[in-house]
Amino acid sequence: MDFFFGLLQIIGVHTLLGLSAYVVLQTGQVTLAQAGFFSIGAYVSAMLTVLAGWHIIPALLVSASLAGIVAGIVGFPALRIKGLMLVVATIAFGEFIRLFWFNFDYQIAKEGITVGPQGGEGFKQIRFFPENGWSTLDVAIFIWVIVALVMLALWWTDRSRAGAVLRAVGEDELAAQSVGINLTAVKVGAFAAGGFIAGIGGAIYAHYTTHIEHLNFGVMLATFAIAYPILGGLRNVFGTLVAVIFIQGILVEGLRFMGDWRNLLFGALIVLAMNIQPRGLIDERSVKLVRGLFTRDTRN
Amino acid sequence: MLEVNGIAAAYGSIEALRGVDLSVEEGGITCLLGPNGAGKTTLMMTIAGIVKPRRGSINFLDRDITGMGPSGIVRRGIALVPENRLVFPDMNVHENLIAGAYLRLGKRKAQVRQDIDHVFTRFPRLQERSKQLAGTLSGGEQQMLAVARALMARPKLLMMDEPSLGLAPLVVEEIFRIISDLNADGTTIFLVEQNAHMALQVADHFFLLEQGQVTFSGKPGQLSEHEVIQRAYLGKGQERERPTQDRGHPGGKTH
Repeated sequence: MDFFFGLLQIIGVHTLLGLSAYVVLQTGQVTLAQAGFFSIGAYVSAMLTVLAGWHIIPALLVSASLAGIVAGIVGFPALRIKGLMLVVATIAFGEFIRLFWFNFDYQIAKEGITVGPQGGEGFKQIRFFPENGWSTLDVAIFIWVIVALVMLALWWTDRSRAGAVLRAVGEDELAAQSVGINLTAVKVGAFAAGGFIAGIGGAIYAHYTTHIEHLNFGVMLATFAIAYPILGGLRNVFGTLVAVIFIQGILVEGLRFMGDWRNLLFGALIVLAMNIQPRGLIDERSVKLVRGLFTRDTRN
Repeated sequence: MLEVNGIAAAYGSIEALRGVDLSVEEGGITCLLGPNGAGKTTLMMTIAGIVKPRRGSINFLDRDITGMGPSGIVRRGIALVPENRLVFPDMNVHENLIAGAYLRLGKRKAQVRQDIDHVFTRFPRLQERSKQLAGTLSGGEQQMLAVARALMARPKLLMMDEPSLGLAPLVVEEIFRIISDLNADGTTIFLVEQNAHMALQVADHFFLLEQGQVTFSGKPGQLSEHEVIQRAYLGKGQERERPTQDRGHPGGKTH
């Protein structure tokens, strides 16, 4: 069973990562910095639980807030650039954060052993869960409660007036300005919210893997972050979840029996999925289909 | 109500406006005519705060709004219906209107709902299509939506950039009827048009903009329509031997 709980944990964390990019993508900004914000959540929360001895929940909130603040700061220069330039700029920023961790050494002795982030060696022994006797199931439940809360918050935002404003900026900035929408507030806000969510994901990730290093947070992870919501169709949060299950659950885990051929098939299946569902895994058609299953046909 | 004094604006080294002076009287319909490339859209965008002027000043209701951002200007009571309508295509009609009420985000939900009902009474066709994606509406419906969306900001001055662009003659007449209705209900209108024939029928006052400068200011009738059209379409200071009666104003009536 532990294998499945482990898989649930991975899917949960990647869902948070995907949702962090979802918020930013809705305002029409393509970001490849999400892995960087994710790493801030990971390193800072781990330092708080391991070095300062905090409980996971306050550590998670503080580290995610810090990731959100950094993301908001990144959002300001991003206001002046769009499209491909923004992609390049956010890659550069993501790498900047990753390389910061590569150079970051801060260790203290605790109960006879030295702990803390150690540059290129990474940060080992992030043992909050095992030390406090959390089972894999407990951790999986903890993660999914958080995922559910984040999804609920975003789902509610999507349906609210704020959601319409976010999407308006994504669809046409000039038109958005003509009705008085403050582009700065919306774009920086979206970056900050995305950074906060990525930070939560990173904090959880650090604690269930117990060992993080800068290489975990490279461009590949950033690419996954935007691939989930895009593959999911950007219509709602469930698309992102479905895409994570599709990639992490079915492609990565389900194809493991194929050995080295898996990676080859992996890419091919994503391309195939995009061709079959060009408007995303969750498009208008599938939304209608699901709605039809749950609403009784009243025409008879 | 609106005074534009010596406004100059440029894109890089290309000067689009070279010292424009004009004013819009409260309660009326003011029209700006001019050929392509005269700077009409740039002037609208400058007043809306989207383009920053290099020189000059803009006053609205006796307050200086020069250099203010678009948000602040909409808050002061100027809303722009942009050229080519620019509805949010992948959002439905209702969501487009909600986005138009951005300045009241997070408060006065009931008031926003009331305003939506109000624009729906004015544009019943939009109500029928409330859940339809804006990108799937016809051109005329998109223009109505763009106007309705701007009205959600409760403007005192409504600026419209070429509302008749690319619309069928009958639809153009409908749009101009809407403009007159809005004006009758108390909204001041500042209109940019290429369709000089229609514009002169509704305008109280009009300006001609040629090569980034105002070259005429007066009431319809002060210049012959023949000359207005010549200058508005071709940007020529003096008349030429050329039949103009049937040029490019769809739905043109005899007059």
